[in-house]
Parts: sequence; structure tokens; C-alpha cells
Amino acid sequence: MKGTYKRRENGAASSNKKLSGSFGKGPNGFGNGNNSGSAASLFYESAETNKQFTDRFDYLLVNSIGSDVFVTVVSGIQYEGLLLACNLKSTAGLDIVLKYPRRVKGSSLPINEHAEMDDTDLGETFLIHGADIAELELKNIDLSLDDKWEHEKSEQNKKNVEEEQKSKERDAKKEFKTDVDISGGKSVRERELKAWVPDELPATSRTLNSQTLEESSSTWDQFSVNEKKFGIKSSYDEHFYTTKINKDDPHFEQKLKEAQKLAEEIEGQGSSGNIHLAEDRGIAIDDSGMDEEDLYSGVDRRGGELLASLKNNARPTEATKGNRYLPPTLRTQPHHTDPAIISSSGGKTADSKTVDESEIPAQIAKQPPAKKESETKVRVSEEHKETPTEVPHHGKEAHLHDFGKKSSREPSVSRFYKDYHQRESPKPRIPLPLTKEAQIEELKKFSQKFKVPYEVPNDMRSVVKKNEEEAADAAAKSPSPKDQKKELSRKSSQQSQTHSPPVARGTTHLRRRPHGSFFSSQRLQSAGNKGALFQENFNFFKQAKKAHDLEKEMEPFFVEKPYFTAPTWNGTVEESYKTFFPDERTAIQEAQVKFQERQYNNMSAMGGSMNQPQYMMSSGGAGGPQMGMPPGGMMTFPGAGAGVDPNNVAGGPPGAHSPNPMMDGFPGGGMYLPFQPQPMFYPSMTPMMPMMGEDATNSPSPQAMSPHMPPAYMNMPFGYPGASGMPPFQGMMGAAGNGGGMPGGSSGSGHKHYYGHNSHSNGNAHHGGNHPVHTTHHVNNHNSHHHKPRNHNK
Amino acid sequence: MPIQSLELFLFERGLVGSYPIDSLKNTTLGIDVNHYVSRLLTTKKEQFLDAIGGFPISLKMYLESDLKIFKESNITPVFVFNGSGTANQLAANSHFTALAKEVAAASSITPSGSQASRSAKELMLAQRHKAWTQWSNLLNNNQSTYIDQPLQPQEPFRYQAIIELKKFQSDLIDYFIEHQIVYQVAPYCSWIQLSYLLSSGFIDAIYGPTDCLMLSNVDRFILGMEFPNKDFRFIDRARVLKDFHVSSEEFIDICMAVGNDLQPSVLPPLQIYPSNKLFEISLEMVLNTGTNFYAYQLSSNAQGGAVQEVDKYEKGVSSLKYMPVLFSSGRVDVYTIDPSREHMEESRKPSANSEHRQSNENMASVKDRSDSQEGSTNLAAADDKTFPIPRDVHDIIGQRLPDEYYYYKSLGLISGKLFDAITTGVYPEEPPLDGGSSNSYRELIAKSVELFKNKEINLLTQNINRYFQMKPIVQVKWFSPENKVALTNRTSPSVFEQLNHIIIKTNNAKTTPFSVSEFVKLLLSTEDLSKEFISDQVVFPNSVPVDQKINSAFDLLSTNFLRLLIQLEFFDFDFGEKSLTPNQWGRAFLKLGNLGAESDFVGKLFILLVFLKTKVLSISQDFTPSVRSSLSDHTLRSYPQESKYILALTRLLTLFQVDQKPTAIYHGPIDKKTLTFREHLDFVNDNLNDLFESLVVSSLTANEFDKLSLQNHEWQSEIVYHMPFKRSLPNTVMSMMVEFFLQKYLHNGNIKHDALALVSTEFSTYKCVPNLTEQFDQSIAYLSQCKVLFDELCDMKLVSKDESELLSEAVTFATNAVRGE
Repeated sequence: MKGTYKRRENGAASSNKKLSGSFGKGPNGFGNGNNSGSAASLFYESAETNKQFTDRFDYLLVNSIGSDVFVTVVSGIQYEGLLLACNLKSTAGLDIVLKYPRRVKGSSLPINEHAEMDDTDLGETFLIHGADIAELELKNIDLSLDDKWEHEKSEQNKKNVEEEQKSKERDAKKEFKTDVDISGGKSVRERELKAWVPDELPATSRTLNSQTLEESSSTWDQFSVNEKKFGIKSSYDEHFYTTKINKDDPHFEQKLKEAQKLAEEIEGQGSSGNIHLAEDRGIAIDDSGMDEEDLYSGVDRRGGELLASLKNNARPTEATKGNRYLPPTLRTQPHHTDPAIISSSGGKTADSKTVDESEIPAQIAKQPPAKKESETKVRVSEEHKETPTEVPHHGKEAHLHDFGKKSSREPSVSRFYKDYHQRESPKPRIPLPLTKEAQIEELKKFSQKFKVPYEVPNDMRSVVKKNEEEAADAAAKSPSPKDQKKELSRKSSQQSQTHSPPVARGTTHLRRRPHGSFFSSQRLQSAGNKGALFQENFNFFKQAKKAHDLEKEMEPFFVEKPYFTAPTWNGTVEESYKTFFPDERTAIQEAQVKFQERQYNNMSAMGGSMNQPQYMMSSGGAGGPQMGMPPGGMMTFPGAGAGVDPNNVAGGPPGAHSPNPMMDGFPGGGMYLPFQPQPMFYPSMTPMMPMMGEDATNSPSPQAMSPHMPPAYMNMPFGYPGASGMPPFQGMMGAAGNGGGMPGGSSGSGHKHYYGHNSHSNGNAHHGGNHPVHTTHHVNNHNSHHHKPRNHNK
Repeated sequence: MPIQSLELFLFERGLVGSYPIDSLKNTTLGIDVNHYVSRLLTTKKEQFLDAIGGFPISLKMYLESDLKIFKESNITPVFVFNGSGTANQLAANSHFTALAKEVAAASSITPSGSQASRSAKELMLAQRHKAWTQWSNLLNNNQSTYIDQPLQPQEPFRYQAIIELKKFQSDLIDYFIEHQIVYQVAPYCSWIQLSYLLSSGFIDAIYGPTDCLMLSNVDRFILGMEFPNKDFRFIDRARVLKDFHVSSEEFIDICMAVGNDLQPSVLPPLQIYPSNKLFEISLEMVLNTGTNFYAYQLSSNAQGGAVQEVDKYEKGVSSLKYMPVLFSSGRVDVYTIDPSREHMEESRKPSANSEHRQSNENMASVKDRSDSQEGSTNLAAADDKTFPIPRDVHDIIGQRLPDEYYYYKSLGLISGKLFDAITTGVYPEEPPLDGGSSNSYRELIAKSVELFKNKEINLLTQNINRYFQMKPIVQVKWFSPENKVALTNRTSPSVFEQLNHIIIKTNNAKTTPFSVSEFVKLLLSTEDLSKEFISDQVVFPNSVPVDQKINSAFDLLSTNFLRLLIQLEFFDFDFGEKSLTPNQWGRAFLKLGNLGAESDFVGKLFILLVFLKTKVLSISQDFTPSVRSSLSDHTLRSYPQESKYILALTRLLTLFQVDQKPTAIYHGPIDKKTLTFREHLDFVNDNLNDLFESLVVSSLTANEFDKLSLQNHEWQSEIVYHMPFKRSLPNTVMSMMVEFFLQKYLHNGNIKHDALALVSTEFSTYKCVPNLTEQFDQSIAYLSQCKVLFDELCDMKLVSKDESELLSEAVTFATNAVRGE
């Protein structure tokens, strides 16, 4: 085998481009095994270094191919020639092939022996065995490949320029030009694609030879032509390819109807602005103003908002819905109660437009069930008359409705519900009231499955239970479909939530459809056209005259001279607007108070969020344990027992007042309140999480890396500039640990009050003593009751 | 500019509700035009608008279809335009430097430059610059292959920039008047004006930007209309605040930090975050660390940071609190939404709570302290039912002008550009669409000071507070912002005094609406101008009985048009000698009546006359520095004479608006050289408009007209609608069609058919121009009229003989080509 040392050695020598030394184990002992052995011991290098040398050697050889080399063979004769190839794998040295070899005249040794031999006898290629080579000298190797390339390019450019100049000259001379003249000098480049547009043909040519298949007046029968021209009789039968419709079938009518119904159902979905779909369905749309791209190829970018809402909508509903496909455009369609449909669905409601729509379902609900059914049918038939395309929907709806009524089994109810949800059609429809049984069943089922996903304090248990019962009772007693639906939708989503943990923030928010009118009830519906109001009003002259007439009718009216108006606005106080802003100290102090309140509210918000199962899920399932609050660190409202009004607690300024009676009874204290619900609320808040995890349990949060937050955010301090104090939650923990309640820790544990704006870095150090500082997040160390404004460390 | 990044966030949070449009039946809907148009003309639309100039024609199509739906649902729309900018807005729009900084930044494009740090205008200019650079590269690269097949630009000229509405305000107003739609131009902020309209019951709902969330008197507003689905998206303020868990104070705090309409820049520490997440991030800061961005600005200020930020913040909040609106009394004053009530309630509730807690927790010291703070900040609000208004609102909003001026502005009678110049002391000259690098354009700007601006300022300040008569006002140009030109607004006697004896009173004028051609007819039919139009008595004093004042819209506009002609030195007027005679230019103007030109063209040709009179550039003269023509090098070399013809023709045709269907958005060839000329004429048109508006306003404020005789819509339809120079000039499409038609015609052995086919293909006219040949015929007719005009001008030695001969040959050449002879 070829010793690596050789290569390395060669590589080392390559700098002077002379490969001398042992080329293989020549029989003449010029460089035999012995030699190699000693060399190996002499130049032992690590495998890596060897490899580097080998690589260099290879590189050198590759670059020298094609260049002039001098080979001295062991016999002493020197050959010159172009290096054509070399065998790196050869075992005994380096085999090389020379092209156009010739002997070098000044070769040292026995020239006489070969004197008679002419260079011609060497032939065109000359192969030299590695074992015979004593020395290989490479000449004029250009190792700068890049330079070479650059050089070539510039050469090329020069050529191009010349070409261009030539063509220009030709242009100037206005010679006849060939294709090559025009395009020859140019390198191939991408051209702009242009839409093909038919040339407008003059009327004459159109009539003569522009007849197309469609335009042809006579009908074209390929079979007859084929027969006439070539005598081929076609055996074509349409029914080879399709199923024959058996029109004699006794059920034909019925099947036809069914097919039509299906077709209508599909078509009735509407194209919803999808031009392509509309075209497929043969719906004529106005496509003027759209080019081919808009029509067929471009991505429909309308409704970025739609997309956003889709994101929200899609997921929670997926859990509850079946696999039925619903076109995306339909998913956000209005459904449930809709004033429009009420006003369009019959005489009674149409007359009383001003009636709050929410009353209407209630009215319907008040009627006994049997009647209700008939009413629904009437309604359906009415709508049937008005909007025939809606028939399939309603037919099926009614059917489902029956089904749900007949069987009180749960699945059917939920299926009805599912169906109901899915079958949002472009035309908003009124909800069909559920039967009482179904509702009760649904609620029962919910109450069985529903479990408060956190430990309910003992004193709360009865309350929760009672509330649940009450809720169920209330639902049963007052079957207002509107309320129930709300209840239902909430609860069903709760169920689904307990099964599928929230993936993203979006899923924790149901898109709520408001009930009632867009306008508050005070608004006069019959306000009508107010355009007329803009005629006299806002008219400076008319109004001035009016005002004048009211006051002093006797005097003649003159329009106020404009030069009375000073360039300033009428102020009521002699102060600058700047004085209405707090000074720095006050502002910062206020910010701090805010922060305290914020913390406080976060706790109460937890209370508020309990009726929002989505949050609860996360706090109970993922949040609580992850936050690793040791039992001792459980946050309690200090002095809650001492008569803090629970409403105040729950209903702090941002108004997290719970609409759910279940929660209203919650006393502020004694309840487990993870003090930071935000991480679940806002997944991207997670920078806080690891911090807390470390503090308490050392378990990193699984949510720690919020996928949609840019990494920069994680590292960026988002507090006040130069803030170097404490991460706030550290303070919280500390306070809790010290046995104090959150805002009221009476422990004088040496927490000084710092403003986050403190830029002194030793603020950090100071706190470091008590709490390790994990981040440079801003800071309002709020847990001290000693307000010492501007208490910088120095 | 809405609250940054909020809209998307609202959608993400599911806080946007929707209702069918039907539920707005029989209501009056107040629409913020800015917001509305930004919805209609999204980024993809009208990408080449800046390369051809003119009005975005697709806008009319959208308006039409939307108005139809409103009509179907019996919804009465009330469109409210934005008025002047507040101090913050003006600063953000570089009003005081005329975009000089942005222009400089735009031309030195650094691809690495973060998009967030650049202002919208800068991005727009940068995109324009990029597109023009690419365009010239394209021309260079195709120099040898391009013969007569025009090249199409690949880079859009606007991208992610909302169309500047101010330029098209008058066009929209015209459209609204035509369709009898109620509109109003707010004195300042449109959405606050809308909130006033809503509170006082003039409208039932607002269709406006997310900024409305900052208003405590707007519970719900409509954010967007989805006409295809027939529903609309709305935002419920209470729900949003509840969902965010912030008080309205905190919400405003966040808005001021992330940037909104009243405070358009992003404040620290938020600049480092991605702009589409700003709101979300700052909300988190507030929720988690109780960040108060005002406190942040103050503290960073104390550390030697920029005072500017505190200032911006304070101005933003204050302009929200003390925004002037146009009241139904026709007066403009500070409108306090009475946030005091809400503010008080909000600040009391928590403070009551905190007191409670604090007392329970024996934190008396804190209580005292916080009480005293609250006292200092809320004392005034708590004590006084009326919200206190500071004395220096003019610093945050702008100096106050007389109510009468605001009224004219609300009608759209005057654009407000000059009002801003008066209140801010700066008249900015911003770069035109082509960049405005030609010497002739800059000369035009220099000449405009003497010719127009001084007179306008004088006319407008003469009747108002003395302060404005003394106030220094400067013209600032984008290309040399340091080199300010002081506008002298003091002349003695004042411009109005020089002119107030010029009165036109016709008796039957009520029937014919004013137009330039009608005016020419009137002059031509008058035997003795001096006798008819010079009045011994001035009519403005209050002692003059109403029936002797100017009583009809036609007379008002005619009187002022004649005054305009005198100011522009088309007519010589000497009251002492009671002489009013047309000079050469005036005679040329009168010739316009004899050309047989359509009435619309008379007004346009007048603009051309004024331009020629400035003598900055003749019709056949090349620009310096030269602007590259879109004609191919082959054409320029092979047909030098014809190229000259084409140049002259295209320039004249910039005043010819091709009849385009609004359904197709323009995509096709562009020509910078033509655009440059168009911008010259546009500049003249703008200045004529300014001067004419100033004349009318000065005449009105002086009481020459019976102002009590008109209702709002009469003001609009009889006066505003018929004021000349208000509409945008045509785009360059017709010019380019003729240009490329003639080029093809030259290269193709003078075959008309092929050339026409080329135009039809390149300009996709099968889509947008229903009758191409007719348009060509009309343009030829127009050119022939131009030729006659030039002959006349030549006779009067107002243009050189060469010029008129060249034009004459050019028109013959074009006529032959188009007629196919």
C-alpha cells in the first residue's frame, strides 16, 4: 500500500512544487520500504493532519493536471510532458500518465544508452509506473481557481462587449440583420411573461376563416364525417361510459327528486365569493375587472380578518363537530339568532320590526311543545315559499328536530347540536328551540361530567353544588332558548375542552355572537334618514342667525367678523396641558400602585375566569402544577376573612366580575388562587414561567417556549430602561413565603421599595441577597408597604 | 393611522363581532373616509397609480357598489373627511421639512434597513424610487432589442402604502355632491368628529378605525363591511377592555405607546419588537408588570433620553382630550368627550377599593400618599363638572382660525392646505410623483411664490386676526429644506382692496352653472368690460343692502375668476382710470372661446396657458436634466423629427383624460417623461386652485355675498361643485397610447391597423377603454384645437414661430396616422 507518509511528505514539498524523495519502493533502493519505514517514524502525525496533507496533495495534483511536469525516473532519465492523469490509488508510489512526452536533453545519466532512441518512439501518451519515478516536478501550477474563473468571466465580458459593439455598428449601418445579429450577442436571460391576448381581427378575416367549432352554424357530427370519409361505423354508445338512467324505474320520480335535492343542497351552499366555485356551478358572476390571475390562479387574499377569525373558530368547533366538511367560507357565516331572518320570515314579525328579536324566540318557547312543532313547520313552509333554495336545509332540519324530539337519548341530542352548528348556511337562520327533555338531558350530562378542575375549598363545595343545581333548575324552569343556547354552547365547549387541552391561545376564546341588536335598545329604530339634519345644522351662517334671532331679534344680524377670533382656543383654566400630567415621581408611583392592583386583580381575575372553563383547564391542568406553588405559598387574600367584600375582590377595576352565579358566591379568601393566571392566558408570557419554576420546583415549564414569540422578546428586558431590580414574582414569592398576604405582607423582611426605573446596577446585587435574579425583567417590587419613593440604592 | 397592530389582535382574540348589514336598516351611518378608503384600496390595488398620476379610477367603482348596498338597505351614509393635522401628526408627516428627510432616506436604499423604523411616507418614497430605478434599468437592458414593443414595468410604484387621500379629497367630494351624499370635512380629526356626531344623534353608528376604542363616548363601532357576505364587523369597547383586563386609561396608555392616529410613532421601549405584535406585547407588559408607558417615557427622559418622546406622548393624550370638532352650531371648538366622568368613576372605584384594603392592612401611610396623588391629578376633574381646558391647546392641536374658515373647509370649498400654512407657518412643497428633479419644475416652485403664494396668504390673512397678518410664513422645499423662502403676506393695498371693485353681476345667471367656458362666453358677449365689471361701489360693507351684494353662485365664481385673471396678469386693471383690458395673454384666453373646444377643455387649456406664461419650459423643449423617454433608441435615432412631434403631442395630451372603465386597474407601459410634464401642469393646477379658493374665501368673508341664502347642500352643489381646478388632472394613459401608437406606426410602414392593435394589447384596452378609436379621434380633435391655439399664440408672439410650426406638423402627422391616411 502506498504509505500515507509519502503523500504527506509530498504535500509538504508541494510548496516549492517539487515532489522529490521516494516515489515508491523502487527495486533500485532509491526509496524502498526501508526508506519509507524511517520516513513514517520520522513524520508521524495524527490522522487528521495526515488527512489534511493528503487533501492538499490531491488538490495539488488535480490542479496540475494539464500542466507541464518533469519526471525523473529511477534510471536518471528525465521526461517532460503534460500531466494527463495520475493514479492516486496505486500501491507503489504514484502512477502517472504523460501526454506528448519527450526526454529532457540535459538529463544527467546514461544518455548513451538511449541516444539512439528518438523522442518519437515515446508515442503520444507515456505511462510511468509509480515504482519507477524518482522525482516529479510540477511547473507553473495555478492554484487560484477563483482567479481563473474571474479571469474567464472578464474575458467573456470583453467578448460580449465587442459583439455588442459590432452589432451596434451594424445597427448604425442599418444593415440587414439576421437572427444571430439581433440576439446573438446576448446571453440568455429570463423574459417577462406576458398574457396572450388575441389580436383583434378585422371583420373581414373573421368571417372568412375564423370559424371555430362553437361558432360553426351547422352541427358537427364526427361520427357521420368519419363514416363518410373513411367508412368507419362507430359503435359508440354513451352507456359504455355512464350508468344508464332507468326512467321506467317505479322509484324514478323519487330518485330524481333526491338527486335534485342533493344538487340544490350543493349549489345552495353558495359560492360565497369563490369565483372558481361559482363558475364550476355555472353561476354567472360579474368577472369584469378581474384578470385571469384573479379568476383562476391568484390566491384569494380577501378577508384577512376572515382568516383570523377562522383560526379562532375552527378549532373549538372541530372538537364538537363531526367530520362533515364545511367550506371555509361558510364557517364564519352568521348563525343562531339573526334579526334579518326574523324580519323576513313572516307577517307577524315583519310587522313588528322594532320588537327586540330576543323576545321572539322567547315567545316561541313559551308555547307548548306541540304547538311549537307546528309553528316550526309553519315557519319552514313560509320560508319555503320565500326562498326555495333553502328547502333542503329546512326539510332536513325539521327531520332532525323530530328525531331529537322522539328519542331522548343523548347521542341524538348532541348530534342534533352538532348538526345544528355545522349547518350554518349563508342565510342566517333562527335557532329551532330544543325540546325540554333534550335540554335537561344535556344539562344533566354536563353536570355529571363537569368537574371543577381544581380543588374546591371545603366551604365552597356546597356553594358550587348548589349553584349547579340552581343553574340546572333555572334552565329547566325557564326554557328561554336563547339562554339555553348560551348555556349549552358554553357547556358543550367545556366538555370538549376537558377532553382536548388547549393548544393555542386562540382556542381558549370562543367567538361569541352577540345577541340582540347592534344598537342599544334606546335607539329609535324609525330614526330614518338623518341626511336632512345636515342641511341647516353645521351651517355657520344659518346657525349664527338662529342664535342671534333667539337672543336679540330686534337688532339686525351681521355675520360675526372673523378677525375677532384669536389664534388660541378657549381654555377654561390658566394652565398648560402639561400640568395635567403627573410629574415623574407621581407617575411612577401611580404605576406602582397600578401594579399592585394589577397583581390583586390577577388573583380576582382567576376567580372570574373560573366560569370560563378554558382558562380553568389550563390553570388547573397545566398551570397549577407547573407553577409549582408549594402549598405554603398558596396565595390567600390577606384579611379576606376580615370582611373584604367579595365583590370588591372579584370586581376590581378591570371588572372581572363573574356573571356566573356560581362564582359570585366565592369568598375572596381561603381559595386557592394561583396568582399568575396570565401564562395560560397569554402563552407568550412564558418568560416568567421558567423563572418561577426554578424558584419553586425546578421543573421547567412545558410552555416555556412560546412558539409564536420571537426569540428577541425572550431576551429583551421589557421593563423600564435600565431596570435592574427584581423580577416581580420573586417578590411575590418572597412575600408569600414570609407568611404575608400579597399586598399586605407585614413582614419587615428588609424588602426595600424600589422603583423599577432604578438604573443602579447594585440594585440587582442588593436583591440578589434575598432572591436570585433570573432575568432583567422590569420590576416593580411592590410587596412592601413602605413607600419610599426614589429610594435608589445610593 | 389606526392603533398599531391592534386590529389583527382583536381578530385573534375573537373580539370582533359581526352582524348582517340589514340590521343597519334605516339608520344613518357615519363613515370615516380615511378608514373607508384604506379598506377599499388595499395594497394590491392601483400599483401603477404613482407612475401615471391622476385619480385612482377603481375607487369610484367600489364607491358605487357600496353606495348601492347602502341604498338597498336604506342606510344613509355620512362621509367625514379628515381635516388638518395636529402637532403630532404634522411632525410625523414631515410637514415642517416637506419630506426632505424621507426623500433623502428613500433614495439611499439600504435593504437591511428595518421596515419598522421607517415612516409610511418614507416607505412610499422608497418604493417609488426603487420602481423608477428598476424602470430605467429595464430600459437600459433592452436598449438594443426594444424597437416598438413598449416595455412593461415589473416593480410596483406603490406597495403597502395607503393612498394619500388628501390629493383626491376634492375628487371624492365632487363624487359625493354628484350623488347627493352627505359629507363633511372635519376641522381636525375625522373619527372624533364622528364621535361628536354620534353623541349628538346625527348619526346612529360609526364606521371608523380602531382609534375609536380610545373614545369613551363610543360604545360600539363598525370596523369593516363585508359586502359580499352582507355583514359587517364591529367592535364593542366594553368587551374589549374587559377582555384585555385594562381600564380605559391603561388602554390609552398602551395606544399612545404603540402608535395611533394622534401619536403616530412607536415609543420606547417598543421599537425593538415586531410591528405586528406591538399591541400584544405592550398589553402583556401592562398586565404582568404594571408597566405605565408614560412613567417609562419620563424615566427614560430623566436618564437623558429624548424629551421628544414625553412630548409626543403628552400631545397625543391631550389631543384626544381636547380635540376641536365642528359643532352643529357651525362653530368649531374643543370637544371634551367628558372623559372626566368616566375617569372619575374609574379612578374612584379602585381607589375606594384600595383604601379599603389598605386600611385593613394598616397601611395608612400609603393611603395618605395615594390620596394626595389622586388629589393632584384628579382634583380639577373631581371638583368641576366641566372638564378643564388648558390655555395652550393651540400647541397640541394647532392655532385657531375663525369659525367661518372652518365652515368653508367643512364644505370642501377650500382644501385647507393654505390654512395649515397659516397656522403652522410653513407651506411645504413636497416632491411630485416623478421626483421633481427637473430644473423647470424647481423654477416653477420658485416662481409660484411671487405668482401665487404671496397673494394667497395675503388674501386669507387680511380678514382674520391681526396675529396672522404679522406671522412669518415660509415655503419649504423638499430638495433644499434649509433654504426657506419667506412668503410676504403684507402688501399695501391688500390684494382684496386692489380687486374689490371688480364685480360681475348677471341677472339670469342662476340658470347656468359656472364653468370656465361659460365665463369666456360671458366675457366675449360683453361689449365693454370696463363698464360692465368695474363697480364704483364696493359691496362688502354691512351697510350695503343684501340685494346689491352678489347673489348667485355664478356671479360669485365669475367675479373671482375675473379677479384671478387680473392677478395672473391676463387683464390689466386700473381703477383710477376705470380700465379693464385684456393684454396679449388675456386675448389668447378669450380665443379659447372661439376654438370650438368642448367646455371641459377650455378649463384645461387655460391651465396650459398659465403654464406657458410662466415660461419655464416650452412645449418642445427637453427637460434639464434630461428625463429618459419611453420611446426606443431606435425610434429616437431613426426618426428624430417624428420623435420631437411625439414629445410635443404627448405633453399636450396630458390634459386629455381617456375614458376609462373603472373596473380595470391599470397595468401597462409607463412613461416618466410624460409624467414629469404632467406634474408640471399639476403644480400649476394646484396653485391656480389655491389662488382661486383664496379669492372666493376672501370675497365671502368680506361679505360680498349673501351667505344666508344657501343651505349646506346648496353651498356644495352650487359653489363647491362648480369651482374650477378642483379635480385632479388626467392621468398619462392617453398620452402614452398615442405615443406608442405613433412609434409602432413609424416602424411598421405606417400601417395604422397594427399600431392600433399594439395599443389595444399593451394597454389591455379591450378591458378598460370601451371605444378606443373614438378616443383616438377625440384626442386628435383636441390636438387640432391646441394647434389653433398655438397659432394664435404665435401670432401674438407669445410662443416662437418654430414652436407653433412644429406643433402644426406634429398634429398633421398624428392626424394622418390616426385617420389612416
